[in-house]
Amino acid sequence: MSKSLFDRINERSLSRRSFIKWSSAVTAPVIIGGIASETKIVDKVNAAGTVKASNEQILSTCSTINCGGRCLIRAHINDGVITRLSTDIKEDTFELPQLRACIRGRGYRQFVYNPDRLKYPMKRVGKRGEGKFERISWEEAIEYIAKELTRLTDKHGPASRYSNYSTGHSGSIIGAGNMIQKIFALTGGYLGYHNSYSSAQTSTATPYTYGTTQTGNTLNTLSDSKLIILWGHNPVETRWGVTDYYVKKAKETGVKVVVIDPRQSNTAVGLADEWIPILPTTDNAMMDAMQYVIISEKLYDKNFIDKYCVGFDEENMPEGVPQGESLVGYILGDKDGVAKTPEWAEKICKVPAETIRKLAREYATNKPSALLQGWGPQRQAFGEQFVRGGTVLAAITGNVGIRGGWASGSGYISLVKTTSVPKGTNPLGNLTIPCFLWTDAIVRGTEMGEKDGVKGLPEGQETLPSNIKAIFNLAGNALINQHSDCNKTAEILRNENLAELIVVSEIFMTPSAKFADILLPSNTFMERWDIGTTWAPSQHAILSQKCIENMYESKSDYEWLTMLAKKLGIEKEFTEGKSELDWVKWSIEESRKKDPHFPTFEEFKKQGIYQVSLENNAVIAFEKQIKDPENNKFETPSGKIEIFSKALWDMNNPEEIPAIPKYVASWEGPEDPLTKKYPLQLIGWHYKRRCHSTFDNNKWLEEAGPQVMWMNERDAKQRKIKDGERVRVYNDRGEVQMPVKITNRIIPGTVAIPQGAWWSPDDKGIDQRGNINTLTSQRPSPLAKGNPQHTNLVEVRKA
Amino acid sequence: MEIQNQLFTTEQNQLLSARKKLYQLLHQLLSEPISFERFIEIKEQGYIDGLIELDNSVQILYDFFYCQDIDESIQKAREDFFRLFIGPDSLPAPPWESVYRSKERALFDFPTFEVRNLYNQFGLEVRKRENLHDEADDHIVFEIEFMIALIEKTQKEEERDVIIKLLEGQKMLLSEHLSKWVPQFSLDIRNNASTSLFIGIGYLLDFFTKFDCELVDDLFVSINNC
Amino acid sequence: MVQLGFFINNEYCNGCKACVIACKDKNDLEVGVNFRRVYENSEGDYVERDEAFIQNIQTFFTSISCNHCENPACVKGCPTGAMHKREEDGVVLVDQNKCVGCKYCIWNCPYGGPQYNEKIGKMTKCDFCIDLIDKGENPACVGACPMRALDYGPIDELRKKYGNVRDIKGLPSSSITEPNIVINANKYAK
Repeated sequence: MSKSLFDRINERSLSRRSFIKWSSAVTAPVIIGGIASETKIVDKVNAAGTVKASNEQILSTCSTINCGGRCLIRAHINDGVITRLSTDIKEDTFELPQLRACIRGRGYRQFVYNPDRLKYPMKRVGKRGEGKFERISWEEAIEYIAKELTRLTDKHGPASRYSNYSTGHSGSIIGAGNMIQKIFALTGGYLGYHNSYSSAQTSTATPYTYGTTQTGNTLNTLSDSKLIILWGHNPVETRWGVTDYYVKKAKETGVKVVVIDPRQSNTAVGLADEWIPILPTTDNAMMDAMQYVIISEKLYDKNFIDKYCVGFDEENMPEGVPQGESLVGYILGDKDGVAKTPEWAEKICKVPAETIRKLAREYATNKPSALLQGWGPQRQAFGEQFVRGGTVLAAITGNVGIRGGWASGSGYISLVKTTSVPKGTNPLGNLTIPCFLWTDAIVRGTEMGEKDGVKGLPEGQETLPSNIKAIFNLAGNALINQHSDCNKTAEILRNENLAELIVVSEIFMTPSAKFADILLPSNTFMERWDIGTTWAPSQHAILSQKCIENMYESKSDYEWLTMLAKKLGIEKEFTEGKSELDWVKWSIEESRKKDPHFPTFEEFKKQGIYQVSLENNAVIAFEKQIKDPENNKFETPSGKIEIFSKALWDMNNPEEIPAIPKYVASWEGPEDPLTKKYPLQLIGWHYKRRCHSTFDNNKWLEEAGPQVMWMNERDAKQRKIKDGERVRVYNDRGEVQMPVKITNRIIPGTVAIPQGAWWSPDDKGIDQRGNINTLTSQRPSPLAKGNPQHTNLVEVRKA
Repeated sequence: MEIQNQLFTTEQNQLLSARKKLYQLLHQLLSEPISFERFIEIKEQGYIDGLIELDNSVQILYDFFYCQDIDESIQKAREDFFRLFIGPDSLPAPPWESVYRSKERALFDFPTFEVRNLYNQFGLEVRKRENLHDEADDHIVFEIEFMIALIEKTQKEEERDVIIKLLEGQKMLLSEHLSKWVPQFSLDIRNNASTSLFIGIGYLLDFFTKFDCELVDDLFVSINNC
Repeated sequence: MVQLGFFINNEYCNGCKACVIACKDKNDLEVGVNFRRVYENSEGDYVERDEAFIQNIQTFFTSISCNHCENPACVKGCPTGAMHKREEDGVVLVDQNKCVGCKYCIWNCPYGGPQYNEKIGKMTKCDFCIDLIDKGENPACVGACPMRALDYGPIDELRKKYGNVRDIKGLPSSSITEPNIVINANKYAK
């Protein structure tokens, strides 16, 4: 009921009287005497009255997160604020394609201006991992870190200090991880790491065939292929430079594209003429069978093999190796009595024998053909075999060193080289652990030696001098989210007697940030200077310009590390008198010494980008070695392509590290007896809506790509699970609850959870967001000690 | 001791003064976590019970100051403050206008520019530290501070035309900004706060910005007509 | 009068949704409101022979926005005349001063083009980025596609260049509204 006008006026005057009565009774100085804290609204310095007319400035920049695309971002800036983003609009040509942003690149305004950003330095007040923090000043934070770092170094020695693998600055020249290592190096040394979470197996295994990881060609050469095989490669979602663009261009000219993947990936849908589904961890069974077809039908390139390879058959084996160890011997089953026929393989990998036969024939007879390996299949228990198997297929068909072919393996190539800020020399030499084994080094570092992949131990020392005690996790989420087995990792981190200091710098409150003792607010790429390059095959560098001032109390890592260096008395040695911008200019000048076409700082600022036209710059890996073998040896021990590696043979572990690539039945693979308890294989994939774990908190991207698990119709039917339902996914390591997408775009018997979702355990430890690493294992691969995160067995039930 | 501006009636002067004080109370409680000293000062000299007559919901705020265990209540209120407005976790009640009015729910959207423009029209701006864009202009504390500045100017101003401008500024801030986002913001505070201090502030802020629209309207009408 | 239209290269669409997000970014659209949408269409199964799987999975993606139709059902059904087709270029627009938010256009459009904005209580939709076209730029979606699988222009020219197909699997019959689109159909969409 509406009140009468009279009532309302009456009420109003009553309220006003009460209001005045309150006002005259109040005596609290903070209320009557003005604002107690510092006034923030002040008289305008340039009292111009109203605002000046809009004066838009457009600065080009790029993110330096670990993204394969490294697109060009044009920030439209008004009055110190980014008001809009646009992307590359230059002329779009085959040699110099536009670097168009994908959905991730379009979400950056929400990244920079997200209200959830970390704003102030924080100190942990509850138990570690509990997520309770209190605001402190930068001075207090630096003071605490310096004190603790000194204490721990005195007590445990410099090898107890570790900068954890972090890729938030992976495209950068001033990465925070490197810069803290510089501080360590200036104050006694540190435990370093080798490998990466992305590519340990391929980076380690590829050189056993070719002596190098630089096995990629420029992408324009794909148009000269007759057949492109993308094996576990999904460039449409990972945005591998502009690989997707060039594969499309090749396809337009009539090149056939085959995708081999347990999932009908977006690449398979958008670019493939044929998709071949395969069970995870069984790629080498198919490769072995392809080799069987090529060998038994004599489709191999005999001249090429005789001239450039060792270990193909018994005739060209290195000395000191007994009979029956060559590739041909293994494939034909000379020793084990098992011929690796397509019929043998199809039972293992589920690819029909005639499909294998057909592909082997097409690949061997349609020269040149390009077999590009993705990095997914090497991130499994015996991922090294996948890498070596691909290189051997390329070698025996003579597809190495020729235009339109592809050497396979890691596929690195870089036309544009930037120069990183030097981090000095570690006084402890090159003492490193495989980056995947850092949790081991916290618990049992002093027991870890060569067999755990530790490198650089000084003479006479068998194991690491100390466990890890101080961890700096700067710009990364591998402190828990991206590392394997979240529950186990959390338990290790929660124990404050193991790692005694954990410093994290971050932009958001990530799962890793929750485990910080000191949590520092990092600025974003929009607020600092840097230079970004893309994943291989790299054809451009972008100046990451500072577009706006630091938000809140955030700082770039370089800024606060300089404060820390000052506190430790090494500021001069650390900065060498240079600011971030000075280092960018220095880096440009250094790069110009090696590449005179590299633009000057002023040119770079104007163009925003240095992109090399492919017109006259086609690069083909090993072209020299093939054209002129006399003067150009491969960088292997034999100087040839090593189908058989004597170095691997000498490791004397033929079951797990064979000297020729072989199918090794994987633990938690389809042949593991554990399938009785956990019958489904689980893999991850790099989802278009995230860059690893970055952007998981972006709601536009969640709409475009919700966090769901893929499951085949028949697996779902058996379990009475319907599309969109929440399911429990579990094994002995943990449990995840998340929605399911029922789709035949995944092979039966396998489920897939896109990697990178933020681990969100409830009070029972059950992850509610869908982080695959709740279920992955910390057991490393045998040779590289790399992560096996696509090797898992699970069961799924309705939640 | 109240400022008497000859262009206003006694009651109007009293209202201006009361408005300023109430905004100062809100400013104080929203700009920093409450300390023991502040708690005692507001409890003993803030006459919160007097505000209950204005709106019943203030009872909740009053309860906070008359709680059993003062130390524990203050500690909880401090935690609430950090959780609601500071972080490090995702903020349940982000204190910026842009978050509520932009489609992206991000900062530095059009409201930031609009209030910046408004501040500038009255010769004011958000203090900037060197190399630091520490805070967006449409933070609740800045909008309140701007209101206080305009009220103070109004109290002292002798020119009628200027007063009209100053009141227009206040109307503008209320109608084009505060009333467009404070209802949702204070609802977020109420729904997510776990202490009576902030649940109470959630009610008071919402109630008072509506009440103040009437007060400013009336002041505006009367100064225009005299 | 010229009639503007879109070309959709359905063969190369890989479902990345860069067009969707570019459109959202340009038009500041909330979650749930999408002027451009990408649909996944997947059917088929596996045959198990011996112990191997033979797949017959047919998947394709279709990116679709407003088709600025010749006979726009949304315009016909609009009781206030808010939904109208512009004379000069055939772009279908909503006059927000006239729109009462009755949603008839949503029921009438077979493509899901009109998108209701809860906040303002009115209908919104793709306006072909006519402001960008005026500036000589591409519509946001066209400029965003990493596969260069979208194009736009006068529909006559598009038809000359790309043909006349506008009926593919998953889309309603073109006879209903005469959409101004040309599609290069994916092999599984034919």
